[in-house]
Amino acid sequence: MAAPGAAKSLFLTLLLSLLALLALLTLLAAGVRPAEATPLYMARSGRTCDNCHSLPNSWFNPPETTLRKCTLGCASCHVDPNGGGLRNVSGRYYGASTLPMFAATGRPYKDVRRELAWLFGGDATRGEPSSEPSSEPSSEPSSEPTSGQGAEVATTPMDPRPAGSPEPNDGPVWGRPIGRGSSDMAWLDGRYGDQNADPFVLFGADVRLGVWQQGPLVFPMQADLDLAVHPVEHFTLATATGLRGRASSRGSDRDDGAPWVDLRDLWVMAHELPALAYVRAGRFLPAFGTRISDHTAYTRRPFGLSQEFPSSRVLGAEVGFNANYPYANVTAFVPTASDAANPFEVAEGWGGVASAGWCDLGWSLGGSAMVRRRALDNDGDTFDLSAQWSFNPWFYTDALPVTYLGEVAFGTLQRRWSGVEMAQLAAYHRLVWTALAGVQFEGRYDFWDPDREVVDDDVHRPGVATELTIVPGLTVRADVRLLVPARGQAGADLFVQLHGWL
Amino acid sequence: MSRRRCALRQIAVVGASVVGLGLVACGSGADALEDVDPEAAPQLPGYTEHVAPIMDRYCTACHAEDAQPGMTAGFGFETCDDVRRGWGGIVITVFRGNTMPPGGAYRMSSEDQLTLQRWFDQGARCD
Repeated sequence: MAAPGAAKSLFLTLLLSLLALLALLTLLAAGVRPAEATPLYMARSGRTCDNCHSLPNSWFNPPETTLRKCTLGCASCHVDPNGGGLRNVSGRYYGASTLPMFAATGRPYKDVRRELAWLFGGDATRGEPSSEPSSEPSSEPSSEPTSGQGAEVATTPMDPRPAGSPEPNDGPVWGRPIGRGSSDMAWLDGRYGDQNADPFVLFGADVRLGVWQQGPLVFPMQADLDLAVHPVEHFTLATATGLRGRASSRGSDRDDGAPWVDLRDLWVMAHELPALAYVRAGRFLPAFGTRISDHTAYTRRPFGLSQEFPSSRVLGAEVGFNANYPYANVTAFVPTASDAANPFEVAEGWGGVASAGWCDLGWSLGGSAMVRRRALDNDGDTFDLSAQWSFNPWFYTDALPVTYLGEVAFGTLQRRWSGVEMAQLAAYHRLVWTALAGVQFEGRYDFWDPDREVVDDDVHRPGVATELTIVPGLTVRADVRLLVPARGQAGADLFVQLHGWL
Repeated sequence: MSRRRCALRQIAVVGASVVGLGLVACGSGADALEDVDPEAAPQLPGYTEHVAPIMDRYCTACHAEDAQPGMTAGFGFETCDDVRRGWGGIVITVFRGNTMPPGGAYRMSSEDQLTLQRWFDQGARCD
């Protein structure tokens, strides 16, 4: 099970984990808030194979489509099949090779001229292909060999790295599962450079520091630790834990006494099945809509899907698949209590979600429906519908490196005191220009009408942002937001985040 | 179908969707919450059960002695007396001006505003 050098890998992993834990423990200020996934990367990654793995060819290409893992859905980069949190080897490779401005892992053949190192006279061919391309690579992913003269497509899995390379074992990982390599759907070593593709234990962390100019407030927004254990092929247990925030300081009169640490996710999953099919059970966020990184988005928080609230999690079972390119999943669950004393305290009621869609190379389109039946004092009954889409013109032309995400969500819910049914509507639009590797500029627009029967309660929130991923694991983001209510004066603010991720 | 034609079709579909959905993203409703649903807020709101959570939700992250930036603007909303003393400011900035909380933060909902207003109209009891 344990590969040679596993002791060293384990030591480094434990050391990194201890450092991350120490960093978390030093964050003693009041508010920490979790953040979510970035479907922007999903929409953007399909334009070139080496966003998510190394050379696509001179490799074993399964003939059956259902055995391919080239999905543009969330499961291509995240352990959670609906995105967010812990990143699998493909996501780690993306973070190391595509996202950063500096110190990026060499990419085999695409976009090297978009890196700052090249602009300042760096080596435009510093990527590490196993052999020189025999012709100018096509910008469109292809199953045809593109590397090496007369390169042959192998009939069995093989490591494409140079002969004599040590066994790939990079990453916040340890060990190998029993039966490693026995599943056609297991992530394959060598396909992601030196990253351990199929670890026994996988760690992750997200830490964000926020600065809100209006306060001014400087506070830890997020402090999450993630863990996945993959003891045998086709089975994973995953957990996500985070510090929990509040408005007041701990020990003040307004301290509600809630525990510091919140167990957010805990689930087991049978996976690595054809078409990336899976079944999981446990505590998780229901798969409705788009999991975006802004938990305050009107398509998330008002629909009870914001990560900061324990009641957003459910206890249930989910089955789905993330093929190339359709996806679908169905979830049945019981709600958790909004004032739960422990993460597994269920509340009266039940719920279900169904989502389906298509994630193509340059666009995606999907829909979700969710029903929840709960006691009125636990947020009541809801019925929600959402349409989500993305469009990446960059896939069609390098002259337009922009990506667009959008969502509209409509839902009925009960008013908290009267129980009378009401309706809300929200929309989310995000246009991102990737100027250079690791440098992106955004325009964004959110809309929310919280009660369709009440006059002048709707709000528009346009904004612009700059996001810099400086090195792997470090991102800085600045947002300027304008809130324009239907009634009253508009307000503007500046919000800066420092995000460390593993 | 050529890539160019496929791309143009996709642009048209997405663009039409955005325009169409953008037209939907307009406010509706013609009445105040109290007229739509008089039961939407507690009939007899009390400070501890109803008002204090509202102040914590929107105000005390900045307007409190233990607030991280320090007591913003020199006043707080931590106690019943604080809220009664600062009621004029709440009326101006929240009910009329809709400027607080500031910036891009969530404004106070119609339900919570109605709860506060009823509490004050009924004598602002500190129970």
